[in-house]
Amino acid sequence: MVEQADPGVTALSVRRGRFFAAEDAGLGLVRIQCFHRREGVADAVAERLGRPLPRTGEIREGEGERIFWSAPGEWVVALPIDVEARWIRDQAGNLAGLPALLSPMGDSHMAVELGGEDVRDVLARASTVDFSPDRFVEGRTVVTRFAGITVLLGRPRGADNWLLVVDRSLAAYLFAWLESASVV
Amino acid sequence: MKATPIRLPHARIDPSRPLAFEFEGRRLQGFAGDSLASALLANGEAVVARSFKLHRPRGILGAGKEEPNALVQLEAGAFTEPNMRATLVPLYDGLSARGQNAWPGVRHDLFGLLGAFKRFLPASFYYKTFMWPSWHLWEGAVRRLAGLGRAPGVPDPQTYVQQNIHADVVVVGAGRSGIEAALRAAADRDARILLVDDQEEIGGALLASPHLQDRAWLDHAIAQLAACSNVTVLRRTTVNGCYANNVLAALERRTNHLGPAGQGRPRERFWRIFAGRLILAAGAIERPLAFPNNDRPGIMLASAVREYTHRFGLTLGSHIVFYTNNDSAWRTALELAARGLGVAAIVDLRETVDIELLERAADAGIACHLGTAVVDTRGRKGVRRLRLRRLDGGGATTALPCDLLAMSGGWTPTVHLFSQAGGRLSYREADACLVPGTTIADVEVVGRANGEFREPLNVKEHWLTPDAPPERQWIDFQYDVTASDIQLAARENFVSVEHVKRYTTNGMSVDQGKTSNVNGLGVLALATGRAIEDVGTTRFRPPYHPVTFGAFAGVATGALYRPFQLLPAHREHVAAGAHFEDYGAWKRPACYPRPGEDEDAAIQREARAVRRSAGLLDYSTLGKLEIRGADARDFLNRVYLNNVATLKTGQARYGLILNEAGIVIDDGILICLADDHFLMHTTSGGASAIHQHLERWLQTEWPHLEVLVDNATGQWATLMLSGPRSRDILQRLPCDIDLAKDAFGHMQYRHGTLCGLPCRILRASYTGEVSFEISVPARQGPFLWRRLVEAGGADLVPFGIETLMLLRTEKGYLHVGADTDGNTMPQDLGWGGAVARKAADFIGRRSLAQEAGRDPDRFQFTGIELLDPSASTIAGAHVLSEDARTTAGYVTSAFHSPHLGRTVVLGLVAGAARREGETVTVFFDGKTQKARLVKPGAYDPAGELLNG
Repeated sequence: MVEQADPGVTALSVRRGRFFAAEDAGLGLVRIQCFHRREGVADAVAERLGRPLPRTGEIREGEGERIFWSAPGEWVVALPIDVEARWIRDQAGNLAGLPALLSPMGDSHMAVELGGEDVRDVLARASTVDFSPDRFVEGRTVVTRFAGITVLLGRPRGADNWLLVVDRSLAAYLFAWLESASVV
Repeated sequence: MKATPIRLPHARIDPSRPLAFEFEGRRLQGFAGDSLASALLANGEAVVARSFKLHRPRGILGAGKEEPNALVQLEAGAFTEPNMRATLVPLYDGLSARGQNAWPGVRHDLFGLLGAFKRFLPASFYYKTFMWPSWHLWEGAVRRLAGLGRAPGVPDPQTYVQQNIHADVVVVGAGRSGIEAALRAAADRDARILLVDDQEEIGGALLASPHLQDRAWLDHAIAQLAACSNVTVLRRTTVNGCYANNVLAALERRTNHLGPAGQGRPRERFWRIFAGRLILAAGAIERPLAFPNNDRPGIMLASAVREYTHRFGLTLGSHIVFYTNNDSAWRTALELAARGLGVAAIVDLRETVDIELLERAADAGIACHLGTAVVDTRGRKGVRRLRLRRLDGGGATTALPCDLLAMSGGWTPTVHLFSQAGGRLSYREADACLVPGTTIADVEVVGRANGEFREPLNVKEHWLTPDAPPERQWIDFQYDVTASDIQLAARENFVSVEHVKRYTTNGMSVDQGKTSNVNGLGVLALATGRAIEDVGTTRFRPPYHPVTFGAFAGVATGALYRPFQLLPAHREHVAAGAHFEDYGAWKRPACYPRPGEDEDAAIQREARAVRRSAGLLDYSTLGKLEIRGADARDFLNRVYLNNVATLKTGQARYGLILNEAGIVIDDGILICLADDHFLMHTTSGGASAIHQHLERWLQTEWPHLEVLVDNATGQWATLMLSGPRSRDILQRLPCDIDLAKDAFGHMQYRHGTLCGLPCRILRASYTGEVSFEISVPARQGPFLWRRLVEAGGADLVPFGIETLMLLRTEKGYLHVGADTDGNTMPQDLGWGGAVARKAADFIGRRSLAQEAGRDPDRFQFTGIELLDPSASTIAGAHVLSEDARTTAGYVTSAFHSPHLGRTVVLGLVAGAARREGETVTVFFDGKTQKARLVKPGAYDPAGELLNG
């Protein structure tokens, strides 16, 4: 059932049968963008950040953070919310002089954890991506149309659950959709 | 046709599980494993439906998806579903069904009298008849009579889902060929196999086989499939369409077999299947034969008789006659005879038949009539007697008693998916059927769908019984299309099979011609003297089988009909009593009516409050794009029509954005945050579109420009505090920005902290009053809303987007999208001077210089003042040309102004710029009224209040 104080407003979790989805309020989100059309910029950004940036469709984990590829020259970093501001401040300093920027996106986007035995079935109701275990392997991520809206969806390595990043203004819709579509 | 009180042994039903059901109010009983059709037949229900046009009594013809007759209205109330084929409805306890298209019932239907007027109701009679004196005279009556069954009148409480699935090999059809193909494919352990079948249990025609070796093979094959971890079997699933790249649409009936008791679980699942390789093993459908009165109840397809006998254990007749033009019906007859059923005779159109079949028939005591046609049938509630005539024997006929006629006119491979995949068909004369004639990459057709019949058919082509009235030879049983209708179409020069289909309705409606199309082609070929191959086929358009609206919609109904977006402070708006309206995907407060107020009154009150004191609007949807980079200023100067190259840090400037055709696509304020960092405000609905517009130009035209764009719209909650007391109210909150009038002027921007929150404040006004557009991190939006409401107290009212529209219309401010259309150029908005002044190039400039852009009669933005102050109008009202014959513009915005005491109007009017002061005629709701073209901005034309 959707836990909400007001229908369609603060739907923070859905649990039905062998599927659940819940906002991960403990995660902060940061977008990395760089002028990737200039050769060497992406590598320079990675070097300044002190961590390799994942290639297309991949996730890179480490040091309490996960970096998701999200578009050419763009990545989304998911990290504990209490270190988000410091991380941005520190890393923005490291990137000074490079055609790159860091933008907080925790206010505009929400991280949602999806899991349960039926999770792939529910995912397959929302998106045309092939979610078979041998096709959508651990460490893979996509930006895709999901339940009619654009989301970033990833399957981090070593995690039981999937991580989805959705525009916060669409979160109520998404949870209501998951509530309806997860019926078995 | 007779009832079957005791089923034959070896039937695939469970006699230990009786199921009660109702048909037309009669309480009947069947067993688990029955279909509704088999249960009706078991109870001796010979007439189960009425035909569409003539209301002729109809019995069950087939046993599966080919059934054209047995359409029933299933269940009642919210669960009702029309046009369900009884052959495809699994029986469940408590099932309730009625016949359709009949009153008071299918056994005795008053409309059956229409049959007496058949000669006056040929194909197309309605096209010819209802034209005079006017279609509209007839329309009401025709629409009441048209249609089959009744759609539910209340919302469907059942749930439907949609799901995608990927497979390396998809096999459609789980008969013997399909199962074999799936097992072959499954040998590759890395391949994912999906086997899809539309029946309750897999096995196809094997389910109707009386032979123990067939049943043993099927049991073994099912066990093999179950042992393959890489095979997924979807039962009760019909593949309805094949699209580009081997994408299939399929409908799974999840809980139909449970009836309303299945509520709570999805009733149907709509599958979108992505197939690497496609194997089509959909089998073949037996065809009826055309002969006089071939539509009488008790006349069935031989394959259906086989299925009802061996699968469902029914004894449908004691004097069964088979009528055929091929060998398969002989084998069925012999199988029935071997079970001890009363097979009286086989009537065959062919002069000669395989000697072995003849001998076996003779041994079974079956009379054989070769070279003989059935030329009539008799029997009031079911067939009782046949009249036979030797094809070479002149006109003499003989009578043959019969209580069940099993006919077979050959077989039609099920090729719709192959055809939809792009395959072409060819006519195989030896089997009188259309078979796949080309090969397609990654598509394979196997088994009977490919014309691979395991035993020879030796079909003799037969489309029409000669020397017999064609108007009594039914081709399409559902729509009452007879051979004479097709002949009439041919006489009237309809030669294309597509046209003939529409003219005669042959092959339309629920069954989509599964039993009638090929026979119709045959009759048309005869009538036009062409070969079948030259006649061609109608297109095999999806869906192959009717799909419910619920399945198409899935969960996208009601509130989930389309995605919606909520404002950060949505709960606060709900608590404040907001009435929401959809603006794009956003749910925005239109206004906040108080008890006893309607929306109009609330908007008027809110507007007065903003002008008198202050109002608070949730403006978070305002587009906010951050543009950064060394080339950001240069890029933006190319994007905006007006010059933004000189914008200094902390300054803001209003601007227009054009597309390359010179059309205004958005407007808003650009703020310079730093020399290489800008904040672009767009219209609420324009943020994503303008973001894409910018990215398109950056990625495709100017990839060398070092610019990064971040759509930060959702990152910030923006509240508009507007009205003469807004500064005072804002100053009641802790803020480190100097908000004083002299320190913070109109069109200036500051950032700092407000109530301890990081904030951005822009002094801009869309109401005409002094305004502050305050942005804080979105998650803090509700907090700031509450703080401002608290701080404002009685001086402040929340106001909605409709109120804002009133206020800006009073002020004459443009709303792109409402006051512009797909032709509006900047010169139509009075921006011709800005175009001339700008030296640098910008998107759309070249188009502005085209001749069309210089036309003095272009629709131009203007104020419209109604001469009668008490008059009103609405957006969309026409402004008439001088001769009042054509439209010379239209009203784009119109609101009653509480401050001016009249309706304020904006519009787009031909040549408005040079016609200021002219009187025009506004047409609305059948009335005209006089108005004057004036400058936009009836309220505070000097613009002093916004500086307050």
